[in-house]
Amino acid sequence: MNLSIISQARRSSFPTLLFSLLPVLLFGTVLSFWEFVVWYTDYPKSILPRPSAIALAIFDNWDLLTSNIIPTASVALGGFLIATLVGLTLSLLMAYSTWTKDALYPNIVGFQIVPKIAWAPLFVLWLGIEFQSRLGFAVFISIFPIIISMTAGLKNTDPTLIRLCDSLTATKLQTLFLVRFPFALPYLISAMKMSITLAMIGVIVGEFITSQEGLGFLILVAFGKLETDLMLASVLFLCAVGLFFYSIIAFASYRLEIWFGNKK
Amino acid sequence: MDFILNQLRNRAELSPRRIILPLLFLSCVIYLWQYAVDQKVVPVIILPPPMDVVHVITQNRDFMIGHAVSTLYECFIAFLCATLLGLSVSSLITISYIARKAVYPNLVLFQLIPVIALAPLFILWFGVGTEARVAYGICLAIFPIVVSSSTGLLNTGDTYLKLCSSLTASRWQTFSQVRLPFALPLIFTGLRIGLTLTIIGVVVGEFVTAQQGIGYLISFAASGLETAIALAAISFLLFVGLILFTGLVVVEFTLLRMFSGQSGQ
Repeated sequence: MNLSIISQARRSSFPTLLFSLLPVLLFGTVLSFWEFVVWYTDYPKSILPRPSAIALAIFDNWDLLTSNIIPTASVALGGFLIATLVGLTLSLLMAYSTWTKDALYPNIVGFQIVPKIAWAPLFVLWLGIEFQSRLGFAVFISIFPIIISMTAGLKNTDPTLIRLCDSLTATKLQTLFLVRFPFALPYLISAMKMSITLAMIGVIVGEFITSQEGLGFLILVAFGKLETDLMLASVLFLCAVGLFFYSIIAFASYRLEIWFGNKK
Repeated sequence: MDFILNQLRNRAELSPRRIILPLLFLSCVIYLWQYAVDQKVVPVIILPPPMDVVHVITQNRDFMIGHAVSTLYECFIAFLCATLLGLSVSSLITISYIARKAVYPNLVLFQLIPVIALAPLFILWFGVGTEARVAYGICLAIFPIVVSSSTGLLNTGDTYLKLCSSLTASRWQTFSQVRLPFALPLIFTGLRIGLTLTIIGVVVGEFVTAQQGIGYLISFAASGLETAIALAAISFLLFVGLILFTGLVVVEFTLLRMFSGQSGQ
């Protein structure tokens, strides 16, 4: 049977409202099931706290949680910005000169195979236990998607457009900035979305290894005191920070696409 | 990894310059590294000379292989479980419309959670042994596997599905003979991302629990300022990754060939 036809038929016969509510319903059911089972079996709070206990922990530790957002968020954002700038420069350089590209690109791709997370303790050793090591690690971990997608994007420009530029006697730089860069913009945007997530991961792992502040540090402290509700509350705050950055990038990229005339 | 595969596929593009230049650059970097250490520009603790790393590897080979095997084993088990679980969830999503509508938005929401931050929770739940690291690896790897394989399974060409229904194929036949073969490339894209994440999960788990494995070796060496050992351990981790990726690529090629043979392409 044709599944898409069935689903089409169902879509018209079922109320659409029910289907849009379905994910919310499932989410709510799982939450209340969790709440109920933990309450009914009197499960130890230190292993699995009830959702209401997590909400209470957010309320009780509001100041502690909010004061730890800034150290994590600022380092992640800084790492992301540096990675984007350096990555962009490197990939533009590689697009501009084939010699640089031939020398660098295979090495960068080869370096990609090493699981980058494994370098985290070395960054602490190199840059100390202050924010520099976390910043360095965040840059290191989030720069690769930018370089690789941007290079792919710059390489995949429509050859007809480049030939048009050549026949209009555009200089290499003009072709790069007026044609190839706007063309590669969607690649850059998807890489930036990947990159901000990785920068967050880098900062959290860095905070796990050595840190005196930040949400990752708070998770470890809460773990040490077996305050699992505070731990999950910090994870929720991390989600909020990640979501905030992600939506900023999504919005910025939308504006950029309009600015470069890719979208109207 | 995808890029390396592409490079290998486009072997026609390879010219002598494209082989010599990267190697030249690499040897320049290594030479500069050695030179910097020799001239005491950087202390040995920060950056040990390349020969020291090689020396550590040859001297402690058995010891390091032991840790590498432990990491390899945990990654393998975690990846296998994540693949099986992920594929079952995405098959369920594909087959049942209601399940898709209910589960899929939640999956996308769950992807937003920085799972890396949950590492201590897994120790709390599963102890400091292998189970915690395997469970954590599964948890990290399963989301990309589910998302990309359900994307693949759901986006089969409409014409093929119509052909199936006009040939009165059963749901199962449509699934196993049309949807699955079509989705294979996307499924394997998801699996490759999943494998990277499994390795990350196991290594971060080893950082946090610190009992055995390459991650433990790296963090232990770094805290003892034994940078040469840490770099040697990272190179062993590279081998672990390469073994797993080679295995996955072999499975991918075999399956693709099998399915394309069946449909007579």
